Amino acid sequence: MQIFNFVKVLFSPIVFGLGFIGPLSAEIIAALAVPLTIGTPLHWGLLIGGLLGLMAQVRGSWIWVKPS
Amino acid sequence: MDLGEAVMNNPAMTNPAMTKEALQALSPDALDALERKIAGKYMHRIPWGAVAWAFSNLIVWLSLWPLVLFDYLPIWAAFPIAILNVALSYLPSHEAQHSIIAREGHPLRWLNELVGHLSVIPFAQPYRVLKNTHMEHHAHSNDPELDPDYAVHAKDDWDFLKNSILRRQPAGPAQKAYGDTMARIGKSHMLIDALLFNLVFIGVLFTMAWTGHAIEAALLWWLPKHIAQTYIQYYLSWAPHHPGNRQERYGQTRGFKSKVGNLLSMGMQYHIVHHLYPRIPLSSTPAAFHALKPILEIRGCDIGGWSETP
Repeated sequence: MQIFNFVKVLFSPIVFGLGFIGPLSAEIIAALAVPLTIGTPLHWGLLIGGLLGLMAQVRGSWIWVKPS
Repeated sequence: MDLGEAVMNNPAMTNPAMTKEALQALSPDALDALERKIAGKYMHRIPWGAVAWAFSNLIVWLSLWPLVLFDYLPIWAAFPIAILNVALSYLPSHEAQHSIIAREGHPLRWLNELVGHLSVIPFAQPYRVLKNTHMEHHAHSNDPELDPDYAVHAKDDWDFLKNSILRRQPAGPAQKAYGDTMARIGKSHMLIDALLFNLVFIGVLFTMAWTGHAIEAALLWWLPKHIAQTYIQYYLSWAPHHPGNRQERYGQTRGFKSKVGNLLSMGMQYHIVHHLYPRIPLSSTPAAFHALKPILEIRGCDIGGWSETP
């Protein structure tokens, strides 16, 4: 049961948001040389990935529109 | 001489002008025998092209990683190649799923299984789950309850695209149908393969991302997988089964003429032959389709634009 819960968390949108979308967004921000007044690309990347992951976790959709 | 052979040797069958009338005059048993006889001509061939395709496609995709990471190939050039590799990874495994390369007991059975397992690595899907759910798709095509691919049905191209994107959202039913099918046929234990594939997939993505190679991981695997999945579902599931409202043997699937040709539609214009005779290799389905076409028309099959060609 503990393993099942671990796997469930590992495959959750919030983990994917922070684990992959975050650093990916950071690399895109850095590659595009987006001027940042506060924080680093990784901070912003994690914010973007975290928020997207949270939305996907709560709504069940990465694109806001819910599957019927 | 069996019934099929006897019918084929009838001079009427070799005269194209008389073929349809001659076919209609045959008894149901004779028509069945003739159909099986014609289809049999295209079976029992080892599709070496599919074997070479499986391994070369995998090698090209695997080689993209060091080529990109060591700056031998720009990522913008590797991205379309990766999409092509992932899109092309399913069909050799599909040949293996139907034991077309080698049946159980054949000396080359190991090759059949090797192709099945290895070719779908870029697609990040496990062979055993794909095989078992695909057999259920064949057994229950277009059945809303029992066909694991039924959710692909959509009223038109755009509806398919919308459904395809929505289905794979976290709350979507994309994976549930396959899991439910595996449970129904008593093979839930094989879902461990899916778990391992997913662990490796996100393990690679996360590791690459946190070592400064997120864009490479996204463009070599994550995005190609999503794009290829849409493409594969469109041509292998949606297009040949649309509108998907018939479940009988000759109505489960249809023939269609693709605007992008046979190669880009992955040979699926002739998918009707595959459902009738799944042991015919993909490369032989066009010839088998044209040989069987008069019979398919008599059977009431929807052969789409092919009905207008001689």
